Amino acid sequence: MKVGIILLLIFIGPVFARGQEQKSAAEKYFSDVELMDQDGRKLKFYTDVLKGKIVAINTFFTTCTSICPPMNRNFEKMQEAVGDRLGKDVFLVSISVDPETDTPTRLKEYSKRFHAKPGWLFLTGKKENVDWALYKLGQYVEAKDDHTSIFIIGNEPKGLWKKAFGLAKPDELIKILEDVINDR
Amino acid sequence: MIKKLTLILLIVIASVLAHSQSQRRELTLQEKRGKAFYLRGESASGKEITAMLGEVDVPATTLTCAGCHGNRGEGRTEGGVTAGNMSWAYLTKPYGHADEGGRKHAAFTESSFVRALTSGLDPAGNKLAVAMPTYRISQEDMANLVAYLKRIETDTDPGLTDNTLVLGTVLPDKASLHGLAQSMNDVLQAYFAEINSRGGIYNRKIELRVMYGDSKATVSNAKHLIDDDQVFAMVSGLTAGAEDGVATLTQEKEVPFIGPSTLLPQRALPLNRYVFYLLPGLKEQARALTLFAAKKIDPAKSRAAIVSPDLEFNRSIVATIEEQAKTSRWSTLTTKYYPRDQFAAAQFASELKQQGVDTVFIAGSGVEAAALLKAAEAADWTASFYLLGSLVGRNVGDSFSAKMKDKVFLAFPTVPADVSESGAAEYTALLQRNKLESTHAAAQASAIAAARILVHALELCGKDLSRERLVTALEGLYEYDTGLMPKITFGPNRRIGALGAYVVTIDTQKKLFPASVEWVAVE
Repeated sequence: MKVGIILLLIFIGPVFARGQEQKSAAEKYFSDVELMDQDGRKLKFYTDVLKGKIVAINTFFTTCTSICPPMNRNFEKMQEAVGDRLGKDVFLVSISVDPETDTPTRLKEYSKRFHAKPGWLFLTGKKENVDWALYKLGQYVEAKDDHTSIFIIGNEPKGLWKKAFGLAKPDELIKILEDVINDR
Repeated sequence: MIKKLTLILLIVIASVLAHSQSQRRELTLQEKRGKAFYLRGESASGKEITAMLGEVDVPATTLTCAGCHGNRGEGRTEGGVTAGNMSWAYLTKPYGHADEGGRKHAAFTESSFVRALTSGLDPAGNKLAVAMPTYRISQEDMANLVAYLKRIETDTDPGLTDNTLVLGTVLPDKASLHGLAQSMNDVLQAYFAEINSRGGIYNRKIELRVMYGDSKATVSNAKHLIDDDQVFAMVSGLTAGAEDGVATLTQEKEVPFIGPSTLLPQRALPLNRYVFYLLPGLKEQARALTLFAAKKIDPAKSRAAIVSPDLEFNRSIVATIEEQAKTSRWSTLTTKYYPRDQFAAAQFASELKQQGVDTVFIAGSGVEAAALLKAAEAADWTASFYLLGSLVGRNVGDSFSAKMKDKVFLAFPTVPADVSESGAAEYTALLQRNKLESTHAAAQASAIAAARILVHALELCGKDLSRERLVTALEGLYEYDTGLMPKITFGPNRRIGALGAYVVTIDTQKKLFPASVEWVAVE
């Protein structure tokens, strides 16, 4: 396989599809820890960020000078491709792995660099809450430099989740996002 | 005979080598230009260089070499992506390279390096790691970059050699302020001399360069220290009246400045990474005072007033109180200005009393505050009064009676109890050992505190010192106790070590200062 296009397509499968009780399995799994976006709004992780949405999630930190900017540049390309659907059913979610440094004010400043529109959330919060959300996504790391270069792209209502390499070409990432939107 | 000559020759060569190693060689113009590209993606031509990553092209200024490969070209791994070592010696090591992914190639040459940067291929023709951009870069810029990479390992920040570390400080004019400058210089020199006599810091002796002058000369003095004396960092000193200029200068030159004394620290966003203030300024104290007042009375049911002379300096403090009062949801807040030297205290007191004002913030001087407090007492007006200790001084306690003692609150950046027993003992011992006098004790204490914090951070950095490392070490300080002032905490978003203020009362009968003390932290 060419190094340049390592695309990891991992089907986690519709494991959440059967949640018929009061709390769905997904809600139980992800939980509703409190996070905060770049506008200082408090958000519940499952209910406000994931539930009923199609999401592309990446991890980053604002003081990162190496791979975070190109990864978020790819998010910007995905934002363009999604067009009007952004903020309706499709959301981009960038979670900081350095919540103590990345205050909402800092995130707001950073989001402007990528021309983020409403519907692209930059998330921070209390460290233990952010750590928990990251842990549930399999993205928790001890040191911020160890954060992955993986995008998690999921269709929560359909229970379809894929992973993609965050430094892949924008076209390839957009195709995966479209597949997830169309439950393919 | 020949043997003896050879020996002497060897000794001479060795000493010349040793000497030249400790001397920092200036970068050539070409190396400087290469460094500008390496660190910031800037072209010597002034034109923009484009970096291509996949199909995305961005200015090279956003995808710099240093961003991934490190300021010193040491290489590092992030997000599973490894950026290799960029020193020329490493790139050209004769037995070539085999990276973690199994990619193998021979040593780089200048031409294969150029190809790697412009086409993304290594000397063996393999594609480079996907995170490595390609650059549309001119031959001249490329030559500059190669020249710098040949030097990068030995390129240290200014003011730094293997055995010296040059620091700078800006002090007021020697003739003014009753010899304040001399007092601060004396303790700083003594403090660093003692560190040096114990071997310095990682074998580096500290040299302190000092410039004296009034506030108009502060910025040009600091500039002289940075540009001409090539100081590594700045420490202590007085920057009052030149806050903006000094902040801009340190930011532009990327020179850390630890513990400048000022009443108005600059903390606007985006944050200035390089200036580390120890104590809160007037605005932070005003904020703490307002927060404290909001705990004393329910702001929703209170009528508050700010009384201030109509001067730009005081207006900026008033604005801070107004802002904080708004955040605390104060129901009514009126601001009354008066021309300096024309403060009709009695009239103010009767008017405000009539309006039912129960909380008064005074942003004026000691004389003005005393006049208002006296007038309030005379008018039997039982409001609470909030004062800034740095503006009014503690002698304001003489102007009101015991009846008012629980109604007058003063904010201070530091209180006598901050000076610990060991802190005081060390201060006295330093003076005694160096046959110095305790003059301007508060200023001397703040100078020693700044020096102590800097030395502590330098020790944390280790021998491999850089300005960037120093900033990171300082950012890591948590509740560091100098024994001379409140505990100091910095962070990535925090540049005031003691962020808050003490709010104190004065017992006028027992002449007790302070009678009660509470530390109020500010976000």
